Amino acid sequence: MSYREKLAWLMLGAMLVSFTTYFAVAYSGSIEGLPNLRLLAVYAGAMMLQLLILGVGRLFIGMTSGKESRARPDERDRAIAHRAGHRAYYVMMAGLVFTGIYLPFTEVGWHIVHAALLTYVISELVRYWVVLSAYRKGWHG
Amino acid sequence: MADGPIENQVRTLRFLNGEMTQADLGDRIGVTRQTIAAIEAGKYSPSLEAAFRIARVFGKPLEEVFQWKD
Repeated sequence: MSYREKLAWLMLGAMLVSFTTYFAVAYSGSIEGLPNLRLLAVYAGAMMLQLLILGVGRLFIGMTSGKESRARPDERDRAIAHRAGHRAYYVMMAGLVFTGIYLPFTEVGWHIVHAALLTYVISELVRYWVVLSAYRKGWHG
Repeated sequence: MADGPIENQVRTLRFLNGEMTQADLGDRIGVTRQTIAAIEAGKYSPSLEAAFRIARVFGKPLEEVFQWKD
């Protein structure tokens, strides 16, 4: 498995763990009211958790990958990253249109914030999934 | 994803050239060992530039290294 594939697994895992934790804790209590300091604290905690996972994970992958971790992305890495970003962009746009145009008529406050956050999370998950799929199954431009 | 429409003789040519490793070939054309492995396995179609660089390493014309599958 290549260094960049390992990184994609790490980022996918870190996103899943941190945002699953955030949404689980956020919806275990009240999410009414703006500003909601409890939710902001939960979000800060989730981000710290994500940074911790990424920091430890990158250190471990860097140590076990040798000189490969210092190599710049080659043409295949760049092509895969470009394709993944392209796919994730459509997910992000669809989510933002839904959040910005439809939800203001039906929801208020944190529900809209969470919909936007969820849009970001889903688009990132799609991006990493496309990256991993391209490394695993192949990529023919 | 299905294999691409291009097949190649990179693995054979590596062995015919002093059992050159994937890492050696990758270093010479500026890609990673994993990319060479993906090319050999038919999981990645290289850019035209990379294809010419590979052919030049082996001293072969491009069509002896890469072939279009009909």
